[in-house]
Amino acid sequence: MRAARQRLALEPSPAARMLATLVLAITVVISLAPFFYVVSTSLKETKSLFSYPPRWIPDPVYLGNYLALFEKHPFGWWLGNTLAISAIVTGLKLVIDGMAAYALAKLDFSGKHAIVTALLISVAVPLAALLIPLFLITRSMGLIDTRLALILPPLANPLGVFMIRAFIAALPDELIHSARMDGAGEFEILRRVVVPLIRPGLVVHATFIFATQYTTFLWPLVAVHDLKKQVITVGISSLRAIFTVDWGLISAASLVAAAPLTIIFILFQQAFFQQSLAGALKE
Amino acid sequence: MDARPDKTPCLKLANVSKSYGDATALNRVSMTAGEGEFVCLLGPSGCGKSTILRLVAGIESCDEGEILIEGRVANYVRPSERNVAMVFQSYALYPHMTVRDNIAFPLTTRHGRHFDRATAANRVAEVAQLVDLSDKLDRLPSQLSGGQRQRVALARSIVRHPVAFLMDEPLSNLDALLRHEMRQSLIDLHRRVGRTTIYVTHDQLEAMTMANRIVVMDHGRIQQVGTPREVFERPANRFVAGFVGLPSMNMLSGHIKGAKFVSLHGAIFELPVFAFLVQDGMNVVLGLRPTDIFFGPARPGTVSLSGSVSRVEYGGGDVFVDLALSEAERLRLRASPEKPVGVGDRIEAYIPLAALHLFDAEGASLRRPEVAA
Amino acid sequence: MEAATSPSHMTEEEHRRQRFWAAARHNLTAYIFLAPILIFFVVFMALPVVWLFYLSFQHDGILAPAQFAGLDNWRRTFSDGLVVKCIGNTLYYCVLAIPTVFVLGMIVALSLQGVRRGAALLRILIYFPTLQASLIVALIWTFMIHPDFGLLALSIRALTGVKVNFLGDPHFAMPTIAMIEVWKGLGFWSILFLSGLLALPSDLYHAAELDGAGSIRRFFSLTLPLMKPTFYFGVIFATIVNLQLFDSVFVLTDGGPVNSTATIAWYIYRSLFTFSDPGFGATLSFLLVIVVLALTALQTWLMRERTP
Repeated sequence: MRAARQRLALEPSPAARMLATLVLAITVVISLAPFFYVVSTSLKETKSLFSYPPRWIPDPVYLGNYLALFEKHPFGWWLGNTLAISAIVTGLKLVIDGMAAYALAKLDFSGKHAIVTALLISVAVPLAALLIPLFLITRSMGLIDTRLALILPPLANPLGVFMIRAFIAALPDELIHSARMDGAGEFEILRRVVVPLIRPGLVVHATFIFATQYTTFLWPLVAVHDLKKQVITVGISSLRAIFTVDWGLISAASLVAAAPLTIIFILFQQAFFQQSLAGALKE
Repeated sequence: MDARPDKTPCLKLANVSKSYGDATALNRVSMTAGEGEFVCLLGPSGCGKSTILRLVAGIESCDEGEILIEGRVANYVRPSERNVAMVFQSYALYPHMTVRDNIAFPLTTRHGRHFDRATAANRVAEVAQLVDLSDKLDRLPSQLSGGQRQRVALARSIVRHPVAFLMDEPLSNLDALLRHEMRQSLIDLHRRVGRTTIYVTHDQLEAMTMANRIVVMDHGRIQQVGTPREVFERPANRFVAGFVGLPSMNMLSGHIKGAKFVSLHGAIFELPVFAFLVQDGMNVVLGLRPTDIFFGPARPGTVSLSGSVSRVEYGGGDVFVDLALSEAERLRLRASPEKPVGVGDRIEAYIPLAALHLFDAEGASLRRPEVAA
Repeated sequence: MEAATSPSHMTEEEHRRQRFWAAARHNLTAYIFLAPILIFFVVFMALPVVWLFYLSFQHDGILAPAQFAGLDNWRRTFSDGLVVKCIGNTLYYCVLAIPTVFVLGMIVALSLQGVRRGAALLRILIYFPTLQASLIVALIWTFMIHPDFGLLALSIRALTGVKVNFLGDPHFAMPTIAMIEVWKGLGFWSILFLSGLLALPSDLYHAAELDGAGSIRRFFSLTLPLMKPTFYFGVIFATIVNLQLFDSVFVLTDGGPVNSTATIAWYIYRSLFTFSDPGFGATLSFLLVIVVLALTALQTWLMRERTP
């Protein structure tokens, strides 16, 4: 930030600076207020929600919502499933995309251009559009209602391949040549020379995949019906009964669901912010 | 000099051609490098010397011809299996590995040489000592100077005891002083390790001081192969004559008249005609090295020159003077700093007959071939 | 003088054979690296697209056995009232959300530009909503707009006495969802525009200042035109993402009220499970794929023009 500001080196007027501060303050408040209100709601009994005017600080503090999550609903399953599936998909995707990216970046072979074009085109194809055939295909493979159904289809999106390819292509060719002449096979080169040098890029990719998988909703909704095997987004949406909705429960659920991702975000913030840059500059 | 004809050369190229799209990098090139020889590929950028290196290494494949390593055709052998080591211009060290791990890398790879722990460690220590890096084994490449990095690259290439070494302008990233030191070290190293080496450079001084044999190249073709002395004293054509030796040879166009050379603007030189294959009236180019021209009046066995000084260039120990023979013809020669000359002075100089070079209109040397000693 | 040419050591035929096998080995290695992604790609991306095309020519298939439908589905797509409404709603949503989030995002980005201390913390706080699942965001916003205990609803009621029915009123439902999604997306777009702003060359600004241009003038004549590549990329990217609006619609309004929030993706989902007419849904899906591909192609073409 400091460097950027020096680059512009045009001093904003005190008025402009005050305006900016005001805007940022409002933005932060607006961005966080709903969450804080939900925290407060989660600590109230649902029936007391409907009292008017609403109180920010719950009195008494009620923990029943949180307890009910784990006692009356398979919330633990949902959380566990989501974390496990997200982690597994992330791990698998790193390997799959890494291998493909190396081939595209440093190997020459016939059909390369065709494959690159095909993969490039399909990066933007939306999951929603493929929903129907994906469902039918998954069903015919007998995978409906299994956790595999949630792990396998997400492995197909080639966006990661191009992201990692950019990182690998940045490595000097001579490094790879040298490794070859030192007797290393291609897989060995990927493992011992390339991967250690693109670690930051892999972290960016991993956070992206993890976040996407953690927050995915439509596909699990369609592919899995057994609540025990469900992920957290679909699970929480199932908490809304048709007639009476337990809002206290839902608020607690939303917060607990948001927690793991938030923790990962704070730990890996650099990687998250590089994502949006990488996305914009990828083209 | 040359490998004995009956002994299989260590490396050989036979009629190798390579093009990149429309551009021809190598045009039916053939050459050999014998056991233990230090061969320099010398030429300007784009002449094809680096291409040859890459072809021998296996990084690229040729369109035509054969690459032979120890007598066997290696065109289709993977670089990892050729047992040839290469030192790149940029050194290509693995930035995330220590010096020790860099050097040991070829001993740990799939197609590399495998030894038990102890022997491998010994090898690494041995080689590290050879290049004087024993105390830096735990550093990372980023913590080393340019010269040190280069030595790591050398060590890494030696540790496997490959069949041959390929070096791609390894000294060009170093400053002049370091380059001089490293040249010496490389010569020593070669003497100790004794393996065939192909060394690519555009610096003729490097080639002259280091090589057993020089292969001079231009535009994808070999111009001459010979020892440094041969290439310097008996250049096969104008290109070699002009490329080898600094400052470069003076060239004068003219023709033969009787036993003399007459330049375009009338300067006349006596020629040892028996040394050249010439005919009366032939168009030729006369070559004179600045370092062969001396101040003073003519003596027996020399040809005299005279003219006025048009430029003086002070280069520290040497002073180079441009002597105008006529309006359009100039010769560069070396003056001694003790006897200063100024622009406009009239000078007398001479050149030994034996130091004259003659080339035909196409550039080929007209020197009568010597009978082999 | 070239070294004497020498005879070849291998026959021409032998050369050809070995060259072939060397190339084959090399290609094999490369394809082994590509195999995993290609397998998944074919099974879960390429095959579905082809299947979509095939499905669009059939009726039923879930409850009743599939029957050939010819061009029925295609004709229906453009005449069916609900489908047209879905497409209209989705486009309406795009028109609401994209300009809004762009303007707000730029405002925040400009404000962030001058920040010296605490920039990292601010980024985290502002990006926080973007990070979360759409579904979670939608549920959390329920607590803002619920007529009985929603913070926003109650505040408006307290200040103006108007009881706003955010999601129950067909005129407000889609704008409400747009508001929620804009709120969610603000973090992402602010950061994106910020990186775009930081990459602008400062010399032009110095020159402009020397020429006497005030900050407002500089903004309109310099900043906006220079940010065009970012905006182009942004609009297309945002459109592609927003065309797929589903999560919030599903959980908040389920397409209602009176189908005012029914989106394309919502319809595709319903066609599979509620209407049990995957063929028809497939037709719409296929169209969606075509549109997204066209937009991607447009974006690639635009970006190619811009980058030097």
